[in-house]
Amino acid sequence: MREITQSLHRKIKARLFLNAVLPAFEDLLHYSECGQSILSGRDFSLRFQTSSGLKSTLQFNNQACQFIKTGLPSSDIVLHFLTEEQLNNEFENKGFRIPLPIKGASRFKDIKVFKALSAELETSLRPDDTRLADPTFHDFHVALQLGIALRAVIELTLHEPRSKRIMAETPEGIAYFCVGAEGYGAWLEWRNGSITAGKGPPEQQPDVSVTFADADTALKAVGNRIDVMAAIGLGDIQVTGLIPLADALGYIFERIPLYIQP
Amino acid sequence: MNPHYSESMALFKRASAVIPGGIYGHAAPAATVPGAFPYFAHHADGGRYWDVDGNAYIDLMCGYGPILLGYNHPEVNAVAAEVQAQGDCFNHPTEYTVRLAEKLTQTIDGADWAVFGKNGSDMTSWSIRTAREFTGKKRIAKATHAYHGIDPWCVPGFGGVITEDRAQIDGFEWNNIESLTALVEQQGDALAAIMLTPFHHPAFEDSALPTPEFVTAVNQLTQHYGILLIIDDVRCGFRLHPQGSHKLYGFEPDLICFSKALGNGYPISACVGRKAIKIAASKCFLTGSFWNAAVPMAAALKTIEIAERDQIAIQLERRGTQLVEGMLELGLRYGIPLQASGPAAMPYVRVADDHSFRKQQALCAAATQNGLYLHPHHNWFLCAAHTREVIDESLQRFEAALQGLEL
Repeated sequence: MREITQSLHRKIKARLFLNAVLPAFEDLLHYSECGQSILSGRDFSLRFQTSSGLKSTLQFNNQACQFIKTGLPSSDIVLHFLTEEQLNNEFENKGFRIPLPIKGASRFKDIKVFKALSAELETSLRPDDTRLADPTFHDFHVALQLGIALRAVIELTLHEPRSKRIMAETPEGIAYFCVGAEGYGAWLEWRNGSITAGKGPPEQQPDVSVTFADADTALKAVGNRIDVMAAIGLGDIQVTGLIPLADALGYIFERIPLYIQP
Repeated sequence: MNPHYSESMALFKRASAVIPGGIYGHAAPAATVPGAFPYFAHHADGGRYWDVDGNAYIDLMCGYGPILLGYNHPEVNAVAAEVQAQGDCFNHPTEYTVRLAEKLTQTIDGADWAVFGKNGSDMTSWSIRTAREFTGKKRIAKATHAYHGIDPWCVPGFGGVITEDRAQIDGFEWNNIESLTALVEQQGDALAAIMLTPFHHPAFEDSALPTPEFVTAVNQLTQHYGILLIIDDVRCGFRLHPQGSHKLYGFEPDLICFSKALGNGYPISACVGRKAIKIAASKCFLTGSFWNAAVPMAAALKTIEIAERDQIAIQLERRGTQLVEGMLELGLRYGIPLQASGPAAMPYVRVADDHSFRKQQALCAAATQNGLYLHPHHNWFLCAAHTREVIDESLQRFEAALQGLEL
């Protein structure tokens, strides 16, 4: 349910694109040979920024990518968006979206490489059935999707009024989300009014564990595309421990599609 | 899924195809530990029930409270059957409505009139409207995490609730006089009512009895600022004190809401109030298609009569004490420290130092699979059919659960 102004909605969406979607390039370069092939050894940094002050940077070097949440001042390329709507259009490939290249406009090759990487990320996030049939790619696809969802939950918790209110009434603790026994795992820790996250199992015993029977169930659950309560009853999603923490985070996961479609 | 519950699961699969969530609300599998507890009931008798797989349980949840005298109580069921034979749902109320209102005003401390509904939420939500009508003020205060029903102003969870639903609702910490005083001093001129349960019984927390100082503060502040005190006795009513749970703790309410135990399982709720509020109450529209039904009224009359005659609250206190003391002793014996909270008739015993509730979930699942139905996150309920012998058997089953438990 949306209870915010169009302006705030655009701003939260922009934050999700900048801080939840852009970091997926790290995974793309880490796991995808195709991505590494596209980068082909080029080193450059690229900053996205808006007039309202939102900014994030991607730094490509050594066949890898590093996401920097604050804008890196010395970025080689700076793409400036006059409005958040313009930035959102860029990520959604619609409407007016051409940014002002206020730095590095002449680095055509790097911009071309980034556009190719973006296309590869797009097809990795929305692959066809043939590609999904490859188990290795399937695992990568799931990790990409869930990684974006996890980061989106953090952004919503920090910046969306409704999510902030929900978390303010939620008991503190560590929630561990995993797919199957051996699959993708990530944790979120809610403590002292802030939320942190990491990949794999947490070092400490989690306060609540949420285990999805398979990746399809996990993706549908975070995309608000299945009846989660029924799935829990059927055993497709197992929840043990501090259920109110999982409930609250689960509800925020389900809010992601109000803004973006990972 | 535990093989004990194959029929439950089969039924749940059918349910989940045609019912959102499969089972919703407090009975949803997600409220306990899915797969470790039964999902569907088949029948019940006395202090026990049977699930659809044929497993039998001593029932320490009593339908989450409605069963006060025991399932299928012969006297209550006989009256209900007799009235049912004459019809139940008419164009008008029946004499049973008047008789029940008269009975409640004679029985409940501070009650000068009564109205009726079906569920606790019907009454808690109507009572805040009545408080607003009477005081001409808007705001309502409630203890944080307290449950008062499923209407938007108070429903737990997040679905479908908008900010405006809670715009006139304030929270304070239970038993925290500073928190309450600060709120009343800040909002007192705008507060129509403070709603409280007789003791604090939120899910996923230990229960907390009111301190005498807190009770005094509530009474004084409400009277000083012209705020109505509404006691939500929906969960506790008739289990703790025959004249209303507020009598046990010393609250001086203006309105009191009942449901659950009132009809020993027959669907009925009531709100009673002081004489001064009766005219305001008459202006707050209240109705439902089935709310005048005669059978639950008659069942409630008989339930109250038996509760008085058999001193049910005293019985439950004794049996609850037997249960809680026995469980704590068994916990010590098996090296699993337990802690108890809440009144003996509605106890909540859980594994100590278990922030995540994982150990508690394992313990209650083991007890349930040993034939003793315990909820891991919610206070329990005793009924009159839980005799000394049934509690002895409960403790035997609890010990069997502890014996096989690895925490």
